[in-house]
Formats: sequence, structure tokens, C-alpha cells
Amino acid sequence: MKKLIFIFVLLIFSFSYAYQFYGIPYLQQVNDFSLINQDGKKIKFSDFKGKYLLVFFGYTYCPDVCPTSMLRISDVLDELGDYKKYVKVLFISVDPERDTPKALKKFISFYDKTGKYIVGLTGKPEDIKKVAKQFRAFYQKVPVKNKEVGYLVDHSAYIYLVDPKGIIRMIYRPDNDDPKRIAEDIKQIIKMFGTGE
Amino acid sequence: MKKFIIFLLTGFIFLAYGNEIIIKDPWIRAVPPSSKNTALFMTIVNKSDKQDTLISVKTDIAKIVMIHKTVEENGIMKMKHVDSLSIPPHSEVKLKPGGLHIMIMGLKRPIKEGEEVKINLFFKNSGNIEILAPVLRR
Repeated sequence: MKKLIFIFVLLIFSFSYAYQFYGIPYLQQVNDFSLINQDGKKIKFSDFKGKYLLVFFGYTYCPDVCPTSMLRISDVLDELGDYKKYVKVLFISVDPERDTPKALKKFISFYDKTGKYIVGLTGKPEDIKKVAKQFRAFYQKVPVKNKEVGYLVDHSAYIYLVDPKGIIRMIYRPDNDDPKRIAEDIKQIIKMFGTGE
Repeated sequence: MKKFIIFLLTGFIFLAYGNEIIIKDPWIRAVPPSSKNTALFMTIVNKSDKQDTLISVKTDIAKIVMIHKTVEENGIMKMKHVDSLSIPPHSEVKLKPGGLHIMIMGLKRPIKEGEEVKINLFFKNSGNIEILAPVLRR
């Protein structure tokens, strides 16, 4: 396994000479998990094997960060052109108490009118916690004085690029969100490692 | 009498310049119809010789409006409440995504892309400035 990782790292570095990646190269296998999708159905992470994934942790009440990132992700999908069919987006809620499947469905349909590319995931708070831990994603409730708003959630806002085998390949920081360049990275990775199909 | 008129005129000119706050490119982010929160962004230009301060913001479309700042700490995006926003003389302050913004919370109705929303900005020196901010998907 160590040898394999070494070869992968070497491959990424050698290709980097030809193409300068915009994201931060990363290498980590994600263990399988199951959550609830926007239709209220239980869905496993392994159900997405064979697709490249853009994973983002956020919540539908989010006023600034998530709408920005989701608009960028929506633009990435547009920029992908013919490569779009190899990609899915997972929006994982860090506010499962308020983010019901119904709320997620309304939220994601704003960023993907076709309903084909973006998947919203929610679940039990303890299940979300385990998934976030795998991605080293952090989130924490922050109370707001006004009772009607209740609370906001501080959270890490990385976009993770996962390959068809469930390995995180790239990470994009919140200020590294140029849709054209993220799309170009995805195209390059697909050219290197195949479509996954 | 002449002196008095000149004094009065210079006073008016001074007053006019003293209140010179200009709001450039205001916009509200389009959010899903189910979303309860959004944000207002703009550039506040202070052309006067005096510092001015944005004290509060009001709009009919939401229950709560607050000045906020998104701060990144070790990759974690945190929201910080800002009591007021100082605009130094002859300078501008940009409110943009991922930074300073006016947080609009508890939307009373869904906002539509393209519509213009009336916003009242209250400044310490310049008083109430009413603007129309378009709802944009960007």
C-alpha cells in the first residue's frame, strides 16, 4: 500500500511539471458511510464510486460562505462542458437539525436546475460528525442573540475533489475558488487517471 | 451683510461636503427561495474630510439586519458581529463576499433575482441614506 501511495504521489508530482495544479494535492482514502439524500433515501458514499466528486460541507441557513461556494461549484459544472457527466457534487449539511431532506432539495435545486449533478446529504448528527471527521471538516454552532435566527454555524469551507475510487485528490481553500481553474484541474485529472467508467 | 452671506454660503458648502457618503455597486446575493438568510455587499465611499460611521441598516424584507465580517481562521470561516463600521475620510470600504457584509437574516419573503430591494443605511454624520440594491446571482 505504501508503495502504491508513493507511486501516486510521484505521478502527481511528475505531471505537475507539465500542468500546475490550482488546488492543493492531497491523498486520502475515504471510508464508506451512509447518509440521507434530498429525497429522504439512505445513500452510501460507495454508491458514487465511478464518479469524480466535489464535496462541500455547509448548511442551508448559511448567509455568506455557502452561497458563494455553491455558486462557484455551479460555475465549475458549467465550465466542465463535456466532462460534466463524470462529476457529481455532494453538499453535506453541518446543520442536520434544520436541514431536512426537503430543505436540502429546495436549496440544491437553485444551484442545479437539472437535479442531476448536485446531491444534498443530511443525517443523524452523530453520523454527520463521523463523516466530517474523515474529511477533517470542522463545524460549530454559534448562537445569535436574536431568538428567531437561533444560531449560525462556523465551519471549514474547503472543496474536496474525490476520485472515482473514493480517494481525496485535491483540496480547494475558500479563497481558491476560481471556477475555470478548478474545472481545468478536474479535466487534467480525468485525462491522467481516466473517466472512472 | 456681504460677509454674513459669504459665511452662510461657506457653511452650506462645508455641510454639503461634510455629508458626502456615496454607495457604489450595492447588490444582494440571490439565494434559494427557501433560504432565510442572505447578504448585502457594496462599496462605501467617504469623500468628506471627516470620518463617518455606519451605525445600522434596515430593510422591510427581513427581520434582522446586522453588520458582519467573515473571518477565516485555519480554514474555518467564522462570522463576527461588527457593532459599527468606520469609513475614514477620503477613502472607501469594500463589503464583499467572504469579508465584510451586511447580513440580512430572517427573510420575510423569497427574494427574486433581478428585483431591487430598498435598504436604509444610517450613518453617524450623514444620517439616513436610502439605496436600491439589485438581487444578483454572483
